[in-house]
Parts: sequence; C-alpha cells; structure tokens
Amino acid sequence: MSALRRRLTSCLVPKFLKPHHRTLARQGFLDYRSLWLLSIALLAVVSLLPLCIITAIDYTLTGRVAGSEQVLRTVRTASNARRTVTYFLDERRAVLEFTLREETYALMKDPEHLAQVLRNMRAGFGGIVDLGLLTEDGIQVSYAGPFDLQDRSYKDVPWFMAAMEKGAYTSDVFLGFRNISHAIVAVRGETEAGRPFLLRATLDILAFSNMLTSLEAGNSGDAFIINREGVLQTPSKRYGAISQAAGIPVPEFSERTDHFITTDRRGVEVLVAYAYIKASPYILCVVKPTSEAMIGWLQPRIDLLWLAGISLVVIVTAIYVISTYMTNAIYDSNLRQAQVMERMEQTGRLASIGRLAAGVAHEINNPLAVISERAGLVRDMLTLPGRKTGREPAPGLVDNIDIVLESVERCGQITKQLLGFACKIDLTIEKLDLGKVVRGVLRFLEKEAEYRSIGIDVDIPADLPPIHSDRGKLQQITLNLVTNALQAMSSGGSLTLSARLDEGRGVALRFSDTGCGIAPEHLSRIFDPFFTTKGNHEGSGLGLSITYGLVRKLGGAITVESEMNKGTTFLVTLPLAMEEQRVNAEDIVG
Amino acid sequence: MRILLVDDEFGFVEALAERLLLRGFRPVVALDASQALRALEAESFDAMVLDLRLPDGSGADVLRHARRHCPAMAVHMLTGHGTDQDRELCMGLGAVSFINKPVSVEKLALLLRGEEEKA
Repeated sequence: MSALRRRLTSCLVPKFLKPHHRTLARQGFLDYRSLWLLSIALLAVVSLLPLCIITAIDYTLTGRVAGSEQVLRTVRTASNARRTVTYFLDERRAVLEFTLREETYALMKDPEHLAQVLRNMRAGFGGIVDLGLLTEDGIQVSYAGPFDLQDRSYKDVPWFMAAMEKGAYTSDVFLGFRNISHAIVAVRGETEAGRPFLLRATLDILAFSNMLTSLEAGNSGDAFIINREGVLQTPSKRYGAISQAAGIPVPEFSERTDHFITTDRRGVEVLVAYAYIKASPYILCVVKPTSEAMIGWLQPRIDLLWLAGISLVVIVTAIYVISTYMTNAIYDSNLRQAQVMERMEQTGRLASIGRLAAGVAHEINNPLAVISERAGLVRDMLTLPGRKTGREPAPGLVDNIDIVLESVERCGQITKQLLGFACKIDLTIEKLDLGKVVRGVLRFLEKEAEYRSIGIDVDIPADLPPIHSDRGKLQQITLNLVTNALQAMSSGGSLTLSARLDEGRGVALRFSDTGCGIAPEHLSRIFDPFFTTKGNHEGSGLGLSITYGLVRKLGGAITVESEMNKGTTFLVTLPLAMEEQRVNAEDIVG
Repeated sequence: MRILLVDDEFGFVEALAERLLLRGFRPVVALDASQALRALEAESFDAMVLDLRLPDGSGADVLRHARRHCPAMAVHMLTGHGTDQDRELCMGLGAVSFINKPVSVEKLALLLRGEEEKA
C-alpha cells in the first residue's frame, strides 16, 4: 500500500515546491518549478492546440452540413407541395376544359343541367364550390352553387376581362359579390354560333389550405401561398389570415424551387423555401425559423462539445501527472546526486583532515619526546640517588617537572587518538548479537543516566539477525554515541536505541535523544577532528571523529539528523557481514 | 647491560642515554645508520633502541643488518612517525616491540630489562 501511495504521491504532488528545493537550486541544480511549468505548458500547447483546431473545424463543418441539409429538406418540402398544388389547379382546369368539350353552351345555360355537371365534378374530383356560365357581356346566365349569383354582371371584374383575353385563368383570392374569400378558375369556350363565353368554377379554399397544412413543416414552420403582391392566399399559422399581407419579401421569380433567408416582421430570422406555381398568380412558401432549422444539429453539437470537454480534462490530467512524475524523478535524482556530492565532500574533507592530523601528530611526537626526556632527565638529576647534588631542590621544582611530564603525556594521548582516527585499526570479526553488545555497554552508563534523570529505551528485536563485526569497535561506537547523547540532555530526557533490518544495506542502529540538538550550521562539521561545541575544555572534539572512523572501518555509514531543542538522531548503518580487511587512512575516512 | 641507542634527534637521545645510565644501563649513542652499523661491528650489545627515520637511511635496513649479524640482540623500534605499515614491517623483520614517541623511560627500561632477564 505504501509503495502505491509513494507512486501516487510522485505522480500527483510536486515535491520540488517544498523549501528544500531552494537548497538544491542554490547548489546550481535546475529550477524545477519553472521546468515543471514549462513542461506542462509545452505539452498543453502540443496536445491541446490540435484538439481545439480539430474541434473548431468539426464544429464549423458539421454546422454547415447540418444547415445545408436543413435547407435541402425544406426546399424539397416546398418542391413536393408545388407539385401537389400545380396538380390540383391543372386538374380543375382540365375538368373545366373537358366539360367545355363534352357539353354544349345551350345545355349548360340550363341551371339544372349545370347543377348536374357540378354534382358530377364534385363526385369525381372535389375541390369545386360552384359553377357559372358567363356570356361575352359578363352576364352570368347560368349558375349552380350555394350562392345567389344568377344573372350577375361581371363585365368590369378584372378576372373576367383577363379570362376572356387569355382563354384560361386562375385568379387571386378575392371577396367578390358573395363577400367571402375565394378564387376562381375560368376557361373560355365558344357557343354554337361562334360567340365566346366563360365557364368558371370557384375553388374550395379549404381543400387548398388542407393540402398545405398537411405538409411537414415542423413545429414552428409554416406553409402557405401568397400572390405576387405578397398577400396570403391561404391561411397561415404565423403570418396572418387570407387576404392579409404575409410580411415577408416577395421572392424573385424562379423556374425552380428556391430559397432565401430573411427576417420576418417579428424580427425572427427565417428560411423561406418558395416555388412559383405555373399558370397561376400563386407563390408557394414554406417558412422555418433558422434556429429550428438548426435544431437537428443541436445534439451532434452537444456530443462534440462533451467529447472535446472530456478529452480536454483527460489530456490536462495526463499532462499534469506526466509532468509532475517526470519532474519529481529528475528532482529525486538530483537530490540523491546532491546528497552523494555532499557526502563525498565531507568524506574528502575528512580524508584531508585525517592525513593532516596524522602528519601533525607524527611531527609533534619527536619534539614531545625531547621535552619528555629532557624534563625527565632534570627530574632524575633532582631525585635519583646517584645524581643528587647534595642540595635539596627548590620547593615545587619537582612538582613543576611532573606537571610538564603529565602535559607531555596528555599531548601524547591526543596524538595517539589523532592517529587512531586516521590509521589502520586491527579488527577481530566475530558473530555478534547486536542487542547484547548494546545492552552490555549501557550497563556501564546506567548510573550516569539515572543521575541525569534520563530514561534509556532499547528497542532491538530479538529476531534481528546476528552481524559479523568487531565487538570492541561496536562497543566503542555505542559508548561514544550514548555518552554524547547523555551530555546533550543536561536537564533530563530520553534516549532510544533501536535497530532494524535495513534491506540491502544491513542493520540500521538508531540513537535518538531529546537533547538540545545541533545547530544546522554545525551539522556538517560535527565529524571533523577537534570540532566541539562543549567549550571550557570539556571535550576534545575527537569523540565523533573517532566514531566516524570506526563506523567506516566496520564497512558502515553514519549520518545525523537534528533539530534545535528537540533532539538528535544518529543513524549507524552496518553491514550484516564483513570480511576482515586492511585499510589505510583513506579507507577509514573515505 | 649494553644498549645501542640509534636516533638522529640529539636532544632526545642524549637525555635518554643519560637517564638509562642512571638506571644502570650502559648506553651507546649512534646519530645515524652508518654510526649504528659501525658500533654494531665494533662491539656487541644486549639490546638496541632504533629510530625508524635516520638521516642516511632507514631504521628497517639497520634492523635487517642487526638480525643477520647480531641475532641475539633485542631490537626495540622507537619512532615518532610510525605507521601501521611500519609496525608490520618491523615486527615482520624481527623487532621485539614497536613504540611510539613519547615514551616514559620507566616503560622503556622495563622492556629492556625484560630482555635482559631473558638473556
């Protein structure tokens, strides 16, 4: 679980934003924050730009295709309606022309006969309200239908004149004598005497309207007929009743069904598909708001935007994870490199100090020996029976010589310790129980810990495997570190010694105290010979140097972590098994 | 007991010789390797206190010569520059002890007497 959490953390949490990052930055490593941001920005541009462009193109193209499809569909509807209306009118006109051929003027002049013809027409074709027969003078000499129009004069009525002139005519919708909106179809014939007359039929406007309302024009679409002046010839759902102005521009004449986009009087943008009806004043219109025309594209558009949105989220997440993971990996690698460099620097410095200390110790030993022998000789001369001068030496002279000799001896001890830091130490490797060794050392220090009110906890598992190492050196390492910890806790505290198996590295022995801690600026120097913070000649400054040398000699490593006024932890890592080896000064410190 | 003291540090070796004399030894001083070799040829000694670094050669060479020509003589190495390699070398060549300066004359006397008793 912890490995998974570590992996997740390395993918999601940018470690390099922590303050420690600045330490690395100071050491000349990369600016990880900028690297991270640059990586995110570059990856985002490279992957999101094509996505955005493709989405925009697709959006535009799909919209355009959907729009043109809708136009085609509307035009097709109009085209179908034109065929229907044209057929309706042609059929009515053909019926009248057929009647002219089959019936004589004289017969049709009889209203009863004309009524019979009307019934036949209604039964056969429908869509005709009444029939009338008009002389060339415009008098309706015969009429069959629901209105009282017998003998009415149409001499000055426009449709009469137009029909007489053209021979066949379909009128606009008008009110006429009956004062009801209607349209007529009239054809011209000749009497037996060769005089012209007109047979006209009133079209059933309702049948006309029904034809258009049955068209699939959509929810807010509309289908109607206007004349060349833009006046409605059939009722419209949205543009008014018959004989009212439709409020849309009259389209230019076109043989084919065509379309245009305009804004109606309500301010709505509409698509108008239209068709001129042949041999009539009618223009068929199918009108749809463009917003509704594009409604079919709404779902693909939503789908497209969803897809783009999800892709965006996935890509941004992937970019973040990849960038964070990669930058974390670089950061970790550089951090390890920095730590190794720091260790190497310290090791190198200690190696130099070791060589210097050894050289100094050797050079001092000779003059020390001279001082020792000369002072010793003076003492001999004053005290040995064979060389006594007979006179008593001045009071305190021998004592002073003894102090000189003691000081020389002390110097000798220091030079020996210095050489111990830097020169070969013989090892006796044996199988050891680390817990027993540590507890053995602690027995010597229990009294002092008790005196200082310091509790010592030992947490070394019984199943810890035995290690092959040097007992004496291990004891000295433990003694040095425990003594150091006790001295750091002047007003009581606790010391914990714990050991764990450290896979791949051996055994990790940890000395954690709750003492005064070590100042950060001292941490890198505590293993240097003669470095001490104790003052007043309390410490030689060699304890930790010697410990460092011993741990390295045992093939291990020692590190320290400390926080002021909280405590210090020394971590000694020792190999489980080591062969007896011969090392020189460099081996010990390096 | 005749002792040959070989050391180039006159101030040291003179005082040491006098102190050993006070303790009943009969020391002879040599300040370099050639003096030491001449002394070894001229007379016999019970023991030799030998410095490692000499102006005209190495104490190890004097030791080799002594082991060959005076095998009964005990040789004590006394040096201010002794490394562990030096110690191993000298002990390997047959030195009885390897002592770092400074050393107390009592300790040295004990070492020499130990040899004397053995002889």
